[in-house]
Amino acid sequence: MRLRAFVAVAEEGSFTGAAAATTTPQPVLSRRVASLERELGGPVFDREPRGVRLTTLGQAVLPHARDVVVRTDHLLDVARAQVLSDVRAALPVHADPQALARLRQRLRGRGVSLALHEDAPAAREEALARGVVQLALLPVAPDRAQVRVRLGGASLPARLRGRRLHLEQLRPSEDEPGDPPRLLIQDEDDVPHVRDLLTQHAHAAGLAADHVVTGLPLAEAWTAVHERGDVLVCAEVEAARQGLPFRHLALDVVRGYRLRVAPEHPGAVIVGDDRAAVLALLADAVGGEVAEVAA
Amino acid sequence: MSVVGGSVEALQVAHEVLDRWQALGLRGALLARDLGTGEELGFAVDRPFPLASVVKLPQVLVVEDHIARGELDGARQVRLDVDSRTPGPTGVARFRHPASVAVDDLAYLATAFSDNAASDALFALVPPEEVTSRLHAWGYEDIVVRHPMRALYDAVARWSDNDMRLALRMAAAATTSGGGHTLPVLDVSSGNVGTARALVALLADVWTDAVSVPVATARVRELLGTPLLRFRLGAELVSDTVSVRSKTGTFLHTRHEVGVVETSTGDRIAIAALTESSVPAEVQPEVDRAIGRAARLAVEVLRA
Repeated sequence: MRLRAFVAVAEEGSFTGAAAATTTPQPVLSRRVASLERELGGPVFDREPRGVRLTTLGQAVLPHARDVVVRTDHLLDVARAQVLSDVRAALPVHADPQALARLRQRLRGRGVSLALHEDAPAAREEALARGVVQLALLPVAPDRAQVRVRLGGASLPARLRGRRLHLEQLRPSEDEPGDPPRLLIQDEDDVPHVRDLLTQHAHAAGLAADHVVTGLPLAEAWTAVHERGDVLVCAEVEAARQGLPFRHLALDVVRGYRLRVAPEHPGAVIVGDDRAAVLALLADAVGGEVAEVAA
Repeated sequence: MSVVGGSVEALQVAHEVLDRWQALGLRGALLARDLGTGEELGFAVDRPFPLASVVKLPQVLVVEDHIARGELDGARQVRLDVDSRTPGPTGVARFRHPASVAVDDLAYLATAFSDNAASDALFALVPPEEVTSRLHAWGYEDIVVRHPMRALYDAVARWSDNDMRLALRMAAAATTSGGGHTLPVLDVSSGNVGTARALVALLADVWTDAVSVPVATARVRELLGTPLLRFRLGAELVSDTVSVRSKTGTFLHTRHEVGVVETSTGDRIAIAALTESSVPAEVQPEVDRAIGRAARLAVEVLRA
């Protein structure tokens, strides 16, 4: 406050002008500057009839005083954003908008406004680490997961036979013309506990190495499903949204998620305090179930 | 044609296979049963077919039953002379010198190599009538064993002056008239015959130890895992996660395979595929493939 008064008087060239510019009563400004001068051990202004002039001491400390004021303003901005502004959340791309609307409504009731970002798993993790988002649903092995999404395959009606999807079904047959179906793994599942498990099992089931494909853009993957009857690994809700038949994988393959929030962010702390309800809504959004795990 | 299926999808697949087989000129029967759920699909399941080498499955079960009960010594040596043994394309039947083989090993040769000489050496110890009566005592009324393997070759010799090509053409042509057959061993009233239903029942009982004694059924399951070639049931199925234990039958225009498909997820599906072709060719890859396709479809629909 004393530094702010000093900088204001120096910039305006008079106590009167500074009082007007900062809407602070002139006696208050005078007291603050006097207090500063006592601490610095000498006057910063030469008081003259038409205003003030910086002393040598005043000229020496003014740049530093300005620096401290600017930094303080920045700090206050950040603090204000922390208190007032939104929580940004990094979620899987397939999260269901209806469930997210319910989540946002609930958090709004607790004074937190939620902004949504969609990203692949690695990008979500990085965004949280860099402070770009304050809440993220991150992939973890199923045994450590708070939300579990059982996976299956979506494809054209003629392609899916039987009760569950066995990878052996994707083997080529001379009786079925055209390219044999490929198993497509989306970016969301490009994590070891899904990708590697599927790949190992595909090889054991006799599928050719190039019939398990990872890293296609999602639109490309869905197009390949419609175009050539490929089988896309996904959650049941994703298949339903595409209007495609779905079968659970016979192999127990699960997307596991943990909710992570930025520890010092006040809005995120509020979210963290409401963790059970938030998890339930997020589980809804990704088509999974809340799993109770040891913290 | 009566089609069997426990669900819409099972019925669809049964019809799909039937249509495909008919398009290929096959007269056939198919039955697949999930041993866990009992669910089935197939067609013509009660129609008797001449068994060809599939007869070695019930034969070996009865032989192993005799051994397990101490009625037959598995270590007993049996001498096979070049002149007197039964001809055939594999195994001891091709030996150029006399050989002495133990009963246990004859059972192996008969299943792994479909060795006719080994099979008939066993029929000499446990005659066809004995096999049939034990099968009937166990409740498999629709499997009838009437003659050793040699009778197939003798019949061809008499029928077509030992000309296999001629026999093949005649056998294939006779199929279309249905019912009986001019070649007695291919006639359901005088040959070795069985139905898809009876064979699947026998497989199911062998797999669940519901017949004979466990020592014998375990040995039969083991033997069915030994065949060197799998070109029908397993054609589209076998991998590190799916295996097939089975017995084939190939004679003139008949192409059979019966066995159990086992998966790494614990499914066990018994399948009997019995066919007679109207195409007079000894090697019919399209028929083998159609049987493989049928087995794959059945497994995909029935497995959990």
